[in-house]
Amino acid sequence: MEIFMMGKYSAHVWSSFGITAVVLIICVLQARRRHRIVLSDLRVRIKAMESEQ
Amino acid sequence: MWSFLHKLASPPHFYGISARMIPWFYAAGLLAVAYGSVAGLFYAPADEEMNDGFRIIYVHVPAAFISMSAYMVMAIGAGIGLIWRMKLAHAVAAGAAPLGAWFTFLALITGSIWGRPMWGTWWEWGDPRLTSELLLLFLYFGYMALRAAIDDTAKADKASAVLALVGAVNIPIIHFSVEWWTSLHQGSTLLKSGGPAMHPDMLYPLLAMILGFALLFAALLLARVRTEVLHRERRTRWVRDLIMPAGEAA
Repeated sequence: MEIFMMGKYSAHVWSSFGITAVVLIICVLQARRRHRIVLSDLRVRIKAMESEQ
Repeated sequence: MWSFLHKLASPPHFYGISARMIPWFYAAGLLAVAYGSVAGLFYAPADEEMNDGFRIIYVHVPAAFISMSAYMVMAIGAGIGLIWRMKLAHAVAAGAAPLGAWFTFLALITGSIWGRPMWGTWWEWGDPRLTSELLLLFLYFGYMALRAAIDDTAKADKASAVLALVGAVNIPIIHFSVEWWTSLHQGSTLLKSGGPAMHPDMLYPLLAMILGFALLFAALLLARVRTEVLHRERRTRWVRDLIMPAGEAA
Protein backbone atom coordinates (compact mmCIF):
# COMPACT_ATOMS: atom_id res chain seq x y z
CA MET A 1 0.00 0.00 0.00
CA GLU A 2 2.90 2.28 0.65
CA ILE A 3 3.59 2.93 -3.03
CA PHE A 4 0.12 4.46 -3.36
CA MET A 5 1.00 7.18 -0.88
CA MET A 6 1.99 10.41 -2.57
CA GLY A 7 3.03 12.29 0.54
CA LYS A 8 0.84 15.29 1.17
CA TYR A 9 -0.24 15.25 -2.47
CA SER A 10 -2.08 11.90 -2.45
CA ALA A 11 -5.52 13.46 -2.86
CA HIS A 12 -4.38 15.77 -5.66
CA VAL A 13 -2.57 13.11 -7.66
CA TRP A 14 -5.21 10.41 -7.32
CA SER A 15 -8.16 12.71 -7.97
CA SER A 16 -6.45 13.97 -11.15
CA PHE A 17 -5.91 10.44 -12.41
CA GLY A 18 -9.40 9.39 -11.31
CA ILE A 19 -11.15 12.27 -13.09
CA THR A 20 -9.08 11.58 -16.20
CA ALA A 21 -10.13 7.93 -16.22
CA VAL A 22 -13.79 8.86 -15.75
CA VAL A 23 -13.72 11.45 -18.56
CA LEU A 24 -12.05 9.00 -20.96
CA ILE A 25 -14.70 6.39 -20.17
CA ILE A 26 -17.46 8.98 -20.72
CA CYS A 27 -15.92 9.80 -24.12
CA VAL A 28 -16.06 6.14 -25.16
CA LEU A 29 -19.62 5.65 -23.89
CA GLN A 30 -20.86 8.86 -25.52
CA ALA A 31 -19.41 7.87 -28.88
CA ARG A 32 -21.00 4.42 -28.66
CA ARG A 33 -24.34 5.76 -27.53
CA ARG A 34 -24.48 8.26 -30.36
CA HIS A 35 -23.69 5.53 -32.89
CA ARG A 36 -26.43 3.30 -31.53
CA ILE A 37 -28.96 6.16 -31.67
CA VAL A 38 -28.10 6.97 -35.29
CA LEU A 39 -28.31 3.29 -36.23
CA SER A 40 -31.71 2.77 -34.62
CA ASP A 41 -33.06 6.02 -36.15
CA LEU A 42 -31.92 4.78 -39.53
CA ARG A 43 -33.62 1.44 -39.06
CA VAL A 44 -36.93 3.08 -38.20
CA ARG A 45 -36.63 5.52 -41.08
CA ILE A 46 -35.66 2.99 -43.71
CA LYS A 47 -38.33 0.53 -42.60
CA ALA A 48 -40.95 3.25 -42.84
CA MET A 49 -39.75 4.21 -46.30
CA GLU A 50 -39.73 0.65 -47.59
CA SER A 51 -43.23 -0.08 -46.34
CA GLU A 52 -44.52 3.02 -48.11
CA GLN A 53 -43.35 1.72 -51.46
CA MET B 1 -1.23 7.67 -52.88
CA TRP B 2 -3.90 9.97 -54.28
CA SER B 3 -6.12 7.11 -55.32
CA PHE B 4 -5.78 5.71 -51.80
CA LEU B 5 -6.84 9.05 -50.31
CA HIS B 6 -9.70 9.37 -52.73
CA LYS B 7 -10.92 5.93 -51.82
CA LEU B 8 -10.57 6.67 -48.12
CA ALA B 9 -12.63 9.83 -48.53
CA SER B 10 -15.49 7.88 -50.08
CA PRO B 11 -18.03 7.44 -47.28
CA PRO B 12 -18.77 3.70 -47.60
CA HIS B 13 -15.08 2.93 -47.81
CA PHE B 14 -14.29 5.10 -44.80
CA TYR B 15 -17.12 3.51 -42.87
CA GLY B 16 -15.68 0.04 -43.45
CA ILE B 17 -12.00 0.77 -42.99
CA SER B 18 -12.48 2.87 -39.83
CA ALA B 19 -14.32 0.00 -38.16
CA ARG B 20 -11.25 -2.15 -38.58
CA MET B 21 -8.84 0.56 -37.40
CA ILE B 22 -10.62 1.70 -34.24
CA PRO B 23 -9.87 -1.37 -32.04
CA TRP B 24 -6.16 -1.13 -32.87
CA PHE B 25 -6.01 2.52 -31.90
CA TYR B 26 -7.82 1.78 -28.65
CA ALA B 27 -5.51 -1.15 -27.84
CA ALA B 28 -2.29 0.74 -28.63
CA GLY B 29 -3.54 3.81 -26.74
CA LEU B 30 -4.47 1.80 -23.66
CA LEU B 31 -1.11 0.06 -23.70
CA ALA B 32 0.80 3.34 -23.83
CA VAL B 33 -1.39 4.90 -21.12
CA ALA B 34 -1.00 1.82 -18.89
CA TYR B 35 2.79 1.94 -19.18
CA GLY B 36 2.88 5.71 -18.75
CA SER B 37 0.63 5.65 -15.67
CA VAL B 38 2.48 2.87 -13.85
CA ALA B 39 5.91 4.27 -14.70
CA GLY B 40 4.86 7.85 -13.98
CA LEU B 41 3.11 7.12 -10.70
CA PHE B 42 5.42 4.52 -9.20
CA TYR B 43 8.78 4.48 -10.95
CA ALA B 44 9.59 8.07 -11.88
CA PRO B 45 11.60 9.80 -9.14
CA ALA B 46 9.77 12.50 -7.16
CA ASP B 47 10.41 16.09 -8.17
CA GLU B 48 12.81 18.10 -6.00
CA GLU B 49 10.44 21.03 -5.55
CA MET B 50 6.98 19.57 -6.03
CA ASN B 51 7.70 16.14 -4.63
CA ASP B 52 4.99 13.63 -5.64
CA GLY B 53 2.70 16.50 -6.63
CA PHE B 54 4.49 16.76 -9.98
CA ARG B 55 2.95 13.42 -11.04
CA ILE B 56 -0.20 15.29 -12.07
CA ILE B 57 1.88 16.24 -15.13
CA TYR B 58 1.22 12.76 -16.55
CA VAL B 59 -2.46 13.54 -17.09
CA HIS B 60 -2.38 17.33 -17.27
CA VAL B 61 0.13 17.84 -20.09
CA PRO B 62 -1.28 15.11 -22.39
CA ALA B 63 -4.82 16.47 -21.85
CA ALA B 64 -3.69 20.02 -22.62
CA PHE B 65 -1.76 18.80 -25.67
CA ILE B 66 -4.82 17.00 -27.06
CA SER B 67 -7.11 19.94 -26.21
CA MET B 68 -5.08 22.06 -28.63
CA SER B 69 -4.40 19.32 -31.21
CA ALA B 70 -8.11 18.57 -31.39
CA TYR B 71 -8.73 22.20 -32.21
CA MET B 72 -6.12 22.05 -34.97
CA VAL B 73 -7.82 18.95 -36.38
CA MET B 74 -11.15 20.75 -36.19
CA ALA B 75 -9.90 23.96 -37.84
CA ILE B 76 -7.98 22.11 -40.58
CA GLY B 77 -11.01 19.88 -41.27
CA ALA B 78 -13.23 22.96 -41.41
CA GLY B 79 -10.79 24.71 -43.76
CA ILE B 80 -10.50 21.74 -46.12
CA GLY B 81 -14.28 21.39 -46.05
CA LEU B 82 -14.76 25.04 -46.96
CA ILE B 83 -12.15 25.21 -49.70
CA TRP B 84 -12.56 21.82 -51.39
CA ARG B 85 -16.17 21.20 -50.37
CA MET B 86 -15.17 17.86 -48.93
CA LYS B 87 -17.94 16.50 -46.74
CA LEU B 88 -15.75 14.03 -44.88
CA ALA B 89 -13.55 16.94 -43.74
CA HIS B 90 -16.59 18.68 -42.25
CA ALA B 91 -17.51 15.40 -40.55
CA VAL B 92 -14.02 15.23 -39.04
CA ALA B 93 -14.36 18.79 -37.72
CA ALA B 94 -17.77 18.04 -36.24
CA GLY B 95 -16.44 14.85 -34.62
CA ALA B 96 -13.39 16.53 -33.11
CA ALA B 97 -15.33 19.28 -31.28
CA PRO B 98 -16.94 17.37 -28.39
CA LEU B 99 -13.73 15.42 -27.81
CA GLY B 100 -11.70 18.61 -27.79
CA ALA B 101 -14.11 20.05 -25.25
CA TRP B 102 -13.68 17.05 -22.96
CA PHE B 103 -9.88 17.18 -23.13
CA THR B 104 -9.95 20.93 -22.50
CA PHE B 105 -12.15 20.32 -19.47
CA LEU B 106 -9.60 17.73 -18.28
CA ALA B 107 -6.68 20.11 -18.79
CA LEU B 108 -8.49 22.83 -16.82
CA ILE B 109 -9.59 20.62 -13.94
CA THR B 110 -6.27 18.79 -13.50
CA GLY B 111 -4.49 22.14 -13.76
CA SER B 112 -6.74 23.53 -11.08
CA ILE B 113 -6.07 20.55 -8.78
CA TRP B 114 -2.36 20.99 -9.40
CA GLY B 115 -2.47 24.76 -8.92
CA ARG B 116 -4.14 24.57 -5.53
CA PRO B 117 -1.14 23.19 -3.57
CA MET B 118 1.53 24.80 -5.79
CA TRP B 119 0.17 28.32 -6.30
CA GLY B 120 -2.26 28.38 -3.39
CA THR B 121 -5.25 28.92 -5.64
CA TRP B 122 -7.62 26.80 -7.77
CA TRP B 123 -8.05 29.52 -10.34
CA GLU B 124 -6.68 32.95 -11.14
CA TRP B 125 -8.86 35.23 -13.26
CA GLY B 126 -6.85 37.19 -15.79
CA ASP B 127 -3.95 34.76 -15.90
CA PRO B 128 -3.16 34.50 -19.64
CA ARG B 129 -2.61 30.73 -19.82
CA LEU B 130 -5.65 29.87 -17.71
CA THR B 131 -7.92 32.36 -19.45
CA SER B 132 -6.92 31.40 -23.00
CA GLU B 133 -7.46 27.70 -22.20
CA LEU B 134 -10.89 28.55 -20.77
CA LEU B 135 -11.63 30.49 -23.96
CA LEU B 136 -10.74 27.30 -25.87
CA LEU B 137 -13.49 25.48 -23.97
CA PHE B 138 -15.98 28.22 -24.88
CA LEU B 139 -14.89 28.06 -28.53
CA TYR B 140 -15.71 24.34 -28.58
CA PHE B 141 -19.08 25.04 -26.91
CA GLY B 142 -19.82 27.83 -29.38
CA TYR B 143 -18.94 25.60 -32.31
CA MET B 144 -21.20 22.81 -31.08
CA ALA B 145 -24.06 25.16 -30.22
CA LEU B 146 -23.87 26.76 -33.66
CA ARG B 147 -23.98 23.37 -35.38
CA ALA B 148 -26.87 22.26 -33.21
CA ALA B 149 -28.82 25.44 -33.99
CA ILE B 150 -28.73 24.96 -37.78
CA ASP B 151 -30.81 22.11 -39.19
CA ASP B 152 -29.42 22.19 -42.71
CA THR B 153 -26.15 20.23 -42.59
CA ALA B 154 -24.47 22.12 -45.45
CA LYS B 155 -25.26 25.48 -43.84
CA ALA B 156 -24.17 24.26 -40.40
CA ASP B 157 -20.90 23.05 -41.96
CA LYS B 158 -20.17 26.44 -43.50
CA ALA B 159 -21.11 28.62 -40.53
CA SER B 160 -19.33 26.45 -37.96
CA ALA B 161 -16.24 26.20 -40.21
CA VAL B 162 -15.89 29.99 -40.22
CA LEU B 163 -16.14 30.04 -36.44
CA ALA B 164 -13.55 27.25 -36.12
CA LEU B 165 -11.11 29.11 -38.40
CA VAL B 166 -11.51 32.46 -36.65
CA GLY B 167 -11.07 30.81 -33.25
CA ALA B 168 -7.81 29.20 -34.38
CA VAL B 169 -5.93 32.41 -33.45
CA ASN B 170 -6.40 31.31 -29.85
CA ILE B 171 -4.11 28.29 -30.31
CA PRO B 172 -0.80 30.19 -30.67
CA ILE B 173 -2.04 32.52 -27.93
CA ILE B 174 -2.41 29.57 -25.55
CA HIS B 175 0.97 28.18 -26.50
CA PHE B 176 2.93 31.42 -26.21
CA SER B 177 0.90 32.97 -23.38
CA VAL B 178 3.49 31.95 -20.79
CA GLU B 179 6.24 33.63 -22.80
CA TRP B 180 4.42 36.80 -23.87
CA TRP B 181 2.92 37.68 -20.51
CA THR B 182 3.64 36.93 -16.90
CA SER B 183 1.68 33.92 -15.80
CA LEU B 184 1.46 31.73 -12.74
CA HIS B 185 1.85 28.86 -15.16
CA GLN B 186 5.35 27.53 -15.72
CA GLY B 187 6.91 27.47 -19.19
CA SER B 188 7.06 24.38 -21.36
CA THR B 189 9.28 21.62 -20.01
CA LEU B 190 9.27 19.63 -23.24
CA LEU B 191 9.34 22.21 -26.03
CA LYS B 192 12.29 24.37 -25.11
CA SER B 193 15.60 25.07 -26.77
CA GLY B 194 18.21 22.57 -25.70
CA GLY B 195 15.69 19.74 -25.41
CA PRO B 196 13.38 18.65 -22.61
CA ALA B 197 14.57 19.57 -19.12
CA MET B 198 13.61 16.34 -17.40
CA HIS B 199 15.22 13.21 -16.09
CA PRO B 200 14.69 10.35 -18.60
CA ASP B 201 12.82 8.32 -15.94
CA MET B 202 10.35 11.20 -15.70
CA LEU B 203 10.37 12.01 -19.41
CA TYR B 204 9.62 8.63 -20.99
CA PRO B 205 6.39 8.02 -19.08
CA LEU B 206 5.27 11.53 -20.08
CA LEU B 207 6.01 10.88 -23.75
CA ALA B 208 4.16 7.55 -23.48
CA MET B 209 1.14 9.30 -21.96
CA ILE B 210 1.09 11.93 -24.71
CA LEU B 211 1.32 9.19 -27.36
CA GLY B 212 -1.35 7.15 -25.58
CA PHE B 213 -3.74 10.10 -25.32
CA ALA B 214 -3.18 10.84 -29.02
CA LEU B 215 -3.99 7.24 -29.95
CA LEU B 216 -7.11 7.21 -27.78
CA PHE B 217 -8.15 10.52 -29.28
CA ALA B 218 -7.65 9.05 -32.77
CA ALA B 219 -9.84 6.06 -31.88
CA LEU B 220 -12.57 8.27 -30.43
CA LEU B 221 -12.38 10.65 -33.40
CA LEU B 222 -12.68 7.80 -35.91
CA ALA B 223 -15.68 6.44 -34.00
CA ARG B 224 -17.40 9.83 -33.96
CA VAL B 225 -16.66 10.58 -37.61
CA ARG B 226 -18.03 7.16 -38.50
CA THR B 227 -21.31 7.99 -36.79
CA GLU B 228 -21.36 11.41 -38.43
CA VAL B 229 -20.80 9.87 -41.89
CA LEU B 230 -23.59 7.37 -41.34
CA HIS B 231 -26.00 10.14 -40.39
CA ARG B 232 -25.00 12.38 -43.29
CA GLU B 233 -25.34 9.56 -45.79
CA ARG B 234 -28.72 8.45 -44.44
CA ARG B 235 -30.46 8.92 -47.78
CA THR B 236 -27.96 6.95 -49.84
CA ARG B 237 -28.16 3.49 -51.30
CA TRP B 238 -25.16 2.09 -49.43
CA VAL B 239 -26.56 3.04 -46.03
CA ARG B 240 -29.90 1.53 -46.97
CA ASP B 241 -28.18 -1.71 -47.96
CA LEU B 242 -26.10 -1.63 -44.78
CA ILE B 243 -29.12 -1.29 -42.52
CA MET B 244 -31.35 -3.63 -44.48
CA PRO B 245 -29.29 -6.23 -46.28
CA ALA B 246 -30.82 -7.58 -49.50
CA GLY B 247 -33.37 -10.30 -48.92
CA GLU B 248 -34.56 -8.90 -45.60
CA ALA B 249 -38.24 -8.02 -45.84
CA ALA B 250 -39.38 -4.59 -44.78
